[in-house]
Amino acid sequence: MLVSLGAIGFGLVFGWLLGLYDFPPEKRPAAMAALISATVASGGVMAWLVGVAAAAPFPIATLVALWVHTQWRTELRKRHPKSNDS
Amino acid sequence: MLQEAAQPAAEVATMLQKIGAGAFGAVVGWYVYYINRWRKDDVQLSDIVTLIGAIGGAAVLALFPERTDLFGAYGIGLATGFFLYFFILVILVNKAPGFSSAWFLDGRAPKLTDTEVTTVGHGMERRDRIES
Repeated sequence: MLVSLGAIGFGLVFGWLLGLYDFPPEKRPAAMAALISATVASGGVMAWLVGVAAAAPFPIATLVALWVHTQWRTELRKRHPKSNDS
Repeated sequence: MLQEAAQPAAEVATMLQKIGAGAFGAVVGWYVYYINRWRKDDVQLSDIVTLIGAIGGAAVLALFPERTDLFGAYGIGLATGFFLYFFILVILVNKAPGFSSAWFLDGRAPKLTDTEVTTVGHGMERRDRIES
Protein backbone atom coordinates (compact mmCIF):
# COMPACT_ATOMS: atom_id res chain seq x y z
CA MET A 1 0.00 0.00 0.00
CA LEU A 2 2.73 2.45 1.01
CA VAL A 3 4.71 1.53 -2.12
CA SER A 4 1.71 2.34 -4.33
CA LEU A 5 1.21 5.66 -2.55
CA GLY A 6 4.88 6.38 -3.13
CA ALA A 7 4.42 5.63 -6.84
CA ILE A 8 1.53 8.11 -6.87
CA GLY A 9 3.80 10.70 -5.23
CA PHE A 10 6.52 10.15 -7.83
CA GLY A 11 3.90 10.33 -10.59
CA LEU A 12 2.45 13.62 -9.35
CA VAL A 13 5.86 15.29 -9.19
CA PHE A 14 6.91 13.87 -12.56
CA GLY A 15 3.65 14.92 -14.24
CA TRP A 16 3.87 18.42 -12.80
CA LEU A 17 7.44 18.79 -14.06
CA LEU A 18 6.39 17.57 -17.52
CA GLY A 19 3.75 20.31 -17.51
CA LEU A 20 6.53 22.90 -17.39
CA TYR A 21 7.76 21.80 -20.81
CA ASP A 22 6.45 24.58 -23.02
CA PHE A 23 6.79 24.14 -26.75
CA PRO A 24 5.74 26.12 -29.82
CA PRO A 25 2.92 24.68 -31.98
CA GLU A 26 5.25 23.88 -34.89
CA LYS A 27 7.28 21.57 -32.65
CA ARG A 28 4.24 19.77 -31.29
CA PRO A 29 4.76 16.33 -32.94
CA ALA A 30 8.39 16.08 -31.80
CA ALA A 31 7.54 17.41 -28.34
CA MET A 32 4.64 14.99 -27.91
CA ALA A 33 6.86 12.09 -28.96
CA ALA A 34 9.49 13.20 -26.45
CA LEU A 35 6.92 13.57 -23.66
CA ILE A 36 5.37 10.16 -24.37
CA SER A 37 8.82 8.54 -24.54
CA ALA A 38 9.81 10.13 -21.23
CA THR A 39 6.57 8.95 -19.60
CA VAL A 40 6.88 5.39 -20.93
CA ALA A 41 10.55 5.22 -19.90
CA SER A 42 9.86 6.54 -16.40
CA GLY A 43 6.88 4.19 -16.08
CA GLY A 44 9.15 1.29 -17.02
CA VAL A 45 11.73 2.33 -14.46
CA MET A 46 9.03 2.67 -11.81
CA ALA A 47 7.65 -0.80 -12.66
CA TRP A 48 11.18 -2.20 -12.33
CA LEU A 49 11.64 -0.44 -8.99
CA VAL A 50 8.36 -1.25 -7.26
CA GLY A 51 6.76 -3.98 -9.40
CA VAL A 52 4.10 -3.73 -12.09
CA ALA A 53 1.11 -3.86 -9.74
CA ALA A 54 2.41 -1.19 -7.37
CA ALA A 55 3.55 1.00 -10.27
CA ALA A 56 0.13 0.98 -11.95
CA PRO A 57 -0.97 4.27 -10.27
CA PHE A 58 2.20 6.01 -11.51
CA PRO A 59 1.11 6.78 -15.09
CA ILE A 60 -2.37 7.74 -13.89
CA ALA A 61 -0.92 10.17 -11.33
CA THR A 62 1.46 11.49 -14.00
CA LEU A 63 -1.39 12.18 -16.43
CA VAL A 64 -3.55 13.77 -13.71
CA ALA A 65 -0.75 16.11 -12.62
CA LEU A 66 0.12 16.96 -16.23
CA TRP A 67 -3.52 17.73 -17.03
CA VAL A 68 -4.07 19.83 -13.89
CA HIS A 69 -0.86 21.79 -14.51
CA THR A 70 -1.71 22.38 -18.16
CA GLN A 71 -5.24 23.52 -17.30
CA TRP A 72 -3.92 25.84 -14.60
CA ARG A 73 -1.40 27.47 -16.94
CA THR A 74 -4.02 27.80 -19.68
CA GLU A 75 -6.37 29.51 -17.24
CA LEU A 76 -3.61 31.86 -16.10
CA ARG A 77 -2.84 32.79 -19.72
CA LYS A 78 -6.51 33.58 -20.29
CA ARG A 79 -6.68 35.76 -17.18
CA HIS A 80 -3.36 37.51 -17.70
CA PRO A 81 -2.69 37.89 -21.43
CA LYS A 82 0.56 39.62 -22.38
CA SER A 83 0.11 43.20 -23.56
CA ASN A 84 1.74 42.34 -26.91
CA ASP A 85 -0.43 39.25 -27.43
CA SER A 86 -2.89 39.62 -30.28
CA MET B 1 0.35 -6.44 1.73
CA LEU B 2 1.72 -9.43 -0.16
CA GLN B 3 4.87 -7.43 -0.81
CA GLU B 4 5.22 -6.74 2.92
CA ALA B 5 4.92 -10.44 3.62
CA ALA B 6 7.52 -11.22 0.99
CA GLN B 7 10.09 -8.85 2.48
CA PRO B 8 12.82 -10.39 4.60
CA ALA B 9 12.49 -9.56 8.29
CA ALA B 10 15.58 -7.34 8.15
CA GLU B 11 13.93 -5.12 5.51
CA VAL B 12 10.67 -4.48 7.37
CA ALA B 13 10.95 -0.84 8.33
CA THR B 14 9.95 0.60 11.67
CA MET B 15 7.57 3.57 11.86
CA LEU B 16 10.48 5.85 12.76
CA GLN B 17 12.39 4.76 9.65
CA LYS B 18 9.34 5.41 7.48
CA ILE B 19 8.90 8.87 8.99
CA GLY B 20 12.58 9.54 8.39
CA ALA B 21 12.36 8.43 4.76
CA GLY B 22 9.26 10.59 4.28
CA ALA B 23 10.95 13.61 5.85
CA PHE B 24 14.03 13.09 3.67
CA GLY B 25 11.77 12.92 0.61
CA ALA B 26 10.00 16.11 1.71
CA VAL B 27 13.32 17.99 1.87
CA VAL B 28 14.30 16.69 -1.57
CA GLY B 29 10.86 17.57 -3.00
CA TRP B 30 11.03 21.07 -1.53
CA TYR B 31 14.47 21.54 -3.06
CA VAL B 32 13.35 20.18 -6.44
CA TYR B 33 10.71 22.91 -6.64
CA TYR B 34 13.25 25.46 -5.42
CA ILE B 35 15.71 24.50 -8.20
CA ASN B 36 12.91 24.54 -10.75
CA ARG B 37 11.79 27.99 -9.60
CA TRP B 38 15.25 29.58 -9.84
CA ARG B 39 16.33 28.03 -13.14
CA LYS B 40 17.81 30.61 -15.55
CA ASP B 41 16.57 29.34 -18.93
CA ASP B 42 13.42 27.80 -20.33
CA VAL B 43 12.87 24.24 -19.21
CA GLN B 44 14.25 21.53 -21.50
CA LEU B 45 13.16 17.90 -21.52
CA SER B 46 16.73 16.88 -20.69
CA ASP B 47 16.49 18.97 -17.47
CA ILE B 48 13.44 16.99 -16.40
CA VAL B 49 15.09 13.66 -17.17
CA THR B 50 18.18 14.73 -15.19
CA LEU B 51 16.00 15.81 -12.29
CA ILE B 52 14.10 12.53 -12.30
CA GLY B 53 17.42 10.70 -12.28
CA ALA B 54 18.49 12.72 -9.26
CA ILE B 55 15.34 12.16 -7.23
CA GLY B 56 15.00 8.47 -8.07
CA GLY B 57 18.61 7.61 -8.79
CA ALA B 58 21.22 5.28 -7.41
CA ALA B 59 21.94 7.31 -4.27
CA VAL B 60 18.30 7.21 -3.23
CA LEU B 61 18.01 3.50 -4.03
CA ALA B 62 21.07 2.84 -1.87
CA LEU B 63 19.27 4.49 1.05
CA PHE B 64 15.80 3.14 0.35
CA PRO B 65 15.83 -0.20 -1.48
CA GLU B 66 13.22 -0.69 -4.18
CA ARG B 67 9.97 -2.49 -3.34
CA THR B 68 10.21 -1.53 0.32
CA ASP B 69 7.98 0.69 2.42
CA LEU B 70 10.91 3.08 2.84
CA PHE B 71 10.93 3.77 -0.90
CA GLY B 72 7.17 4.36 -0.77
CA ALA B 73 7.52 6.73 2.19
CA TYR B 74 10.23 8.60 0.28
CA GLY B 75 7.88 9.03 -2.70
CA ILE B 76 5.07 10.32 -0.50
CA GLY B 77 7.43 12.76 1.22
CA LEU B 78 8.80 13.89 -2.14
CA ALA B 79 5.35 14.88 -3.39
CA THR B 80 4.47 16.47 -0.04
CA GLY B 81 7.56 18.71 0.01
CA PHE B 82 7.23 19.59 -3.68
CA PHE B 83 3.58 20.63 -3.54
CA LEU B 84 3.91 22.25 -0.11
CA TYR B 85 6.46 24.64 -1.63
CA PHE B 86 4.08 25.30 -4.51
CA PHE B 87 1.04 25.97 -2.33
CA ILE B 88 2.97 28.28 0.01
CA LEU B 89 4.29 30.11 -3.06
CA VAL B 90 0.75 30.52 -4.42
CA ILE B 91 -0.42 31.97 -1.10
CA LEU B 92 2.54 34.34 -0.79
CA VAL B 93 2.29 35.56 -4.40
CA ASN B 94 -1.43 36.24 -4.06
CA LYS B 95 -0.96 38.06 -0.75
CA ALA B 96 2.03 40.18 -1.81
CA PRO B 97 0.99 43.74 -2.74
CA GLY B 98 1.19 44.39 -6.49
CA PHE B 99 1.77 40.77 -7.42
CA SER B 100 -0.74 38.55 -9.22
CA SER B 101 -0.75 34.98 -10.41
CA ALA B 102 0.71 36.27 -13.71
CA TRP B 103 4.04 36.00 -11.87
CA PHE B 104 3.84 32.25 -12.45
CA LEU B 105 3.69 32.76 -16.21
CA ASP B 106 6.51 35.21 -16.87
CA GLY B 107 7.60 36.65 -13.54
CA ARG B 108 5.51 39.81 -13.83
CA ALA B 109 6.05 42.02 -10.78
CA PRO B 110 5.30 45.60 -9.75
CA LYS B 111 7.79 48.36 -10.53
CA LEU B 112 10.23 49.36 -7.81
CA THR B 113 9.53 52.60 -5.96
CA ASP B 114 12.12 55.35 -5.52
CA THR B 115 13.30 53.93 -2.21
CA GLU B 116 13.67 50.32 -3.40
CA VAL B 117 16.52 48.53 -5.15
CA THR B 118 16.75 45.08 -6.67
CA THR B 119 19.30 42.58 -5.43
CA VAL B 120 18.82 40.29 -8.43
CA GLY B 121 18.22 37.24 -6.33
CA HIS B 122 21.04 37.89 -3.84
CA GLY B 123 18.69 38.61 -0.97
CA MET B 124 21.08 37.35 1.71
CA GLU B 125 24.27 39.02 0.47
CA ARG B 126 25.74 42.06 2.20
CA ARG B 127 24.50 45.35 0.83
CA ASP B 128 28.00 46.76 0.15
CA ARG B 129 28.85 43.70 -1.98
CA ILE B 130 25.67 44.10 -3.99
CA GLU B 131 26.29 47.79 -4.66
CA SER B 132 29.96 47.34 -5.59
